[in-house]
Amino acid sequence: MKGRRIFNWAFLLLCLLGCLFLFPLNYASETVIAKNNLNPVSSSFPSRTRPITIAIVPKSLDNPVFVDAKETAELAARKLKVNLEWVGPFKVDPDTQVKIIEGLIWRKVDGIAISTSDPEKIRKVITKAVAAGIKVATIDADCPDSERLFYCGTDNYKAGWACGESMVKIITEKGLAKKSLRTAILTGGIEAHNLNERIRGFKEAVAGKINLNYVALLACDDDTSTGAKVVESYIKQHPETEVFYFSGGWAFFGPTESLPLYQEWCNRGGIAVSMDTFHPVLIAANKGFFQALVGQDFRKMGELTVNYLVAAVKGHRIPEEYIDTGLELANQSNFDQLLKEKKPWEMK
Amino acid sequence: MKVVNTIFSRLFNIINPIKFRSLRSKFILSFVILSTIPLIMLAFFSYRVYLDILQSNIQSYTSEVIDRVDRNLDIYISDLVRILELRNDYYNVQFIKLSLAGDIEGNRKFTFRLWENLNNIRHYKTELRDVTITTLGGVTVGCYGTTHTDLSQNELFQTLANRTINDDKTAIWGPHPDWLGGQVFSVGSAIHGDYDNFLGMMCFDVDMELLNRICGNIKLGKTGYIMLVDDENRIIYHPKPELIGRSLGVLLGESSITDWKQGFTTRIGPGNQMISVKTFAPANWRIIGLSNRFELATEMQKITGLSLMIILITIIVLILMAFYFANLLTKPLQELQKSMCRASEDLYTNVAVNTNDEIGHLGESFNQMLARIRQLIEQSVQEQKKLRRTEMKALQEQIKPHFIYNTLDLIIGLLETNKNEDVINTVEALGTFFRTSLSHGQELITIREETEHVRNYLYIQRIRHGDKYDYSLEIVEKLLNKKTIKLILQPIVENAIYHGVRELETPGGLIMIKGVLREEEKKVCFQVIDNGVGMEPSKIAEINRCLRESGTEQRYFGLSNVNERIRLAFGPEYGLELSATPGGGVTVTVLLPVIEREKL
Repeated sequence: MKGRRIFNWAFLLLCLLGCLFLFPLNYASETVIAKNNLNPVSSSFPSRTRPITIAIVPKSLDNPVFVDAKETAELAARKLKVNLEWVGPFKVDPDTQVKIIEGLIWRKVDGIAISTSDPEKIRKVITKAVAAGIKVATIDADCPDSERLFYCGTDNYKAGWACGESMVKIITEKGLAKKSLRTAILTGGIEAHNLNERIRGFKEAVAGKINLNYVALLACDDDTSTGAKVVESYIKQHPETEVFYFSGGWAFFGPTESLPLYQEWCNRGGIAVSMDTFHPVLIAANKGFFQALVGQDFRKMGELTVNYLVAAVKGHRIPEEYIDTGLELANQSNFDQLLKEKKPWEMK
Repeated sequence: MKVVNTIFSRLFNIINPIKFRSLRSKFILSFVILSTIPLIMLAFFSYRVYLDILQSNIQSYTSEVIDRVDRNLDIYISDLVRILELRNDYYNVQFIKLSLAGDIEGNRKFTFRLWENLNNIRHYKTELRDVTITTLGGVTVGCYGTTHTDLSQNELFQTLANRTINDDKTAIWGPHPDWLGGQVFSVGSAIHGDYDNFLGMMCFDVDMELLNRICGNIKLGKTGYIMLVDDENRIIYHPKPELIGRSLGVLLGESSITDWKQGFTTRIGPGNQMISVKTFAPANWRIIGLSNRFELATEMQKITGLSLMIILITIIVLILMAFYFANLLTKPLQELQKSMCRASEDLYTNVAVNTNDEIGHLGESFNQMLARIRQLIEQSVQEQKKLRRTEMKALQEQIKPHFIYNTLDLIIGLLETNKNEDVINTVEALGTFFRTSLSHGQELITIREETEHVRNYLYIQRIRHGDKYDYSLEIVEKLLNKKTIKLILQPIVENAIYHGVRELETPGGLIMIKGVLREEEKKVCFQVIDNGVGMEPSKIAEINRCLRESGTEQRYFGLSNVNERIRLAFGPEYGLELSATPGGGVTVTVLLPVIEREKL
């Protein structure tokens, strides 16, 4: 009996503490709601009988980099008791991505997070979604100058800068800082803002420190097989290339055996730095495909995006507009360690 | 029949006296009517037959088109059903199981795999908007990722979930909007677990554009079309997109959409529309073909117009031909008619014969008839002339002045010699002579009167000439009442006196007048026989020749005159003939027909 009384008092005390803790947040949310009254469509739904639905729209479904983000996003959604939808074009296609977002607007989902394929096209549909009362954020690839609430992902400029710094270190150590090196860059989509930021960060990081002669900008539309083909084809045609910078690791998501010419190029002393530290990329790095890697934290991206979007739907204020999920630096000193920590994709 | 006859009779009575009297008009009318009536009947029956054939063809074509739509839909759905056999694929079932178990980490491999598989399947067929697998928990994985489905609103899922494992047929739902805002219909099959438990469904979202692709280009006539309605008579395809989703009753009227049969039916709907319906069994949709029968009428109007124009032109051509043929046939008749009219006024005309047909023969016969008439008239005129001249001569002969003067001188001489009895007898004979000559103008007199006439003449002449000759009359009694033309014996007797017996140098002359009846020949025969000076045989022959030949009457006028009068009156087989009297003198034989008194 005494134990039960103690339990009751403890429960009441916890409730009181909880109220005190939540009070400032609730107060702040009311102000956000007042703001959101300007866009009342979402709140005009008949009732909140259906669970909150959050949709994440990646650039494409066939890009395995989002698998980790999807997993953590779903786990977060389950935790928050909301529905999570993961929808996008199977392959990178900005127009289809726009159509899908329009479909989500038509279905009146509560929140949308977009990995932007083409900022110019996505910006308009973000405006449309916001006008419909939907909370919109960007994930992985931002859409600058849009009405999105926040961006959750890698600081791509920083990521590019980190790649550049790694490249400067490698080339300087090789004593080639003064030499003009023929450099090729592989990117996903030419219009992708996040990738362009990485390239910009890379170039600015190496500028004045080493002498890279950029001779080619190759694109693979974030496709694994296309990336491998493009690299192999370029190496075959331009074996004199000395440096490769990969703004994403798409070409190495598949088996490394599909890149024999590149491997030969690496064996001849080719220098390469790449973004991403996924399991297959680390395997390739162990085979000498790169001298350094800069990784992104997609798991964090998925989790944070859902959490903040749900909070926004519920009327909570988002603490910051730019949510940086951080970088993961890798070189030959920690490739093995990271490889042990990473989970293989096992998609095929 | 009586009524029809009456109508025709009245019609004929109205038009006939006015315009259709001529043979030409009748011919044209008959020709036009006989040609036009079959033409009109042919046009009428052709119109009916063509209309029936056209309707039948339209119905047949519509049926064929609807069958084709049904077949295309069936092929498409059958293909989907075959693809749906993949629904129990290992990855599908594993995805559903892990999804239902809430194993997010374990399912990521299958999710990624399904995205790829379903996208590949989507490209198997055109107009597939999405291929999805929906779990019992409402999670849907499809070509565009993973979504959540409100199962209570998904009729396809409800249908499949409520079926048993034994009723594992494909179900169709729609049309309905998909989550991308497009209009689709869904074709799905249930996915069952290891214990035949319902786990979810595999579903195709087919773009409604498919129906437009199958039906859109089909035209039934100019405005006819194909549309589709669902089992609630809601239009799911119509060439006018604004009508999609509306009730069929709004378009065709509620009464037109009841009692659809399962098979193919055709009926007439509002606005004279021909509605053909077939049920697309897999979805319980109805394929409806709408044809506008007014178009048929318009088509038929063209045909009718064309037929009427052809008939009109044909009638005009027939009339022209009728005129041509009528002219061809009646012109000779008209010319014949005109010729006959002219001939009625002037017999000395001829019909121009231009053809060798019956009318030509008629013209020739008419010309022959005219020639014969002219000949007869000429003959008649000549005969009349002759007759008049002969009569004048006869009259002149009758009243020869010197005969009268001589007779009167004779009477004076007798008076001077106081032969009063002779005077009386002579005057009496002269009176009787003249009375008979005149005969009240009658041409025929009895033989008795003719005999008395010649007897009186002989009496007077014997008084004048004394006893130089004698005379006798022997007339068969039964001849006396027969008739003859008058004054035929007197000129012959006069000739016998002046060229016969008076020329005798010695008295003893005799003039015998005999009259007999040749019964076998049925002729009356008079003979005036004198025993005078006679004639040379050649002269007798010449006189006989003159008597036989016409136109020589200027010579031997007395005999010729008598002869001509007899032949004119009775024919050429009658008349005079001279012969020599045996022993001298001349015998004149007169042949006359037997004319009974009472016959005249």
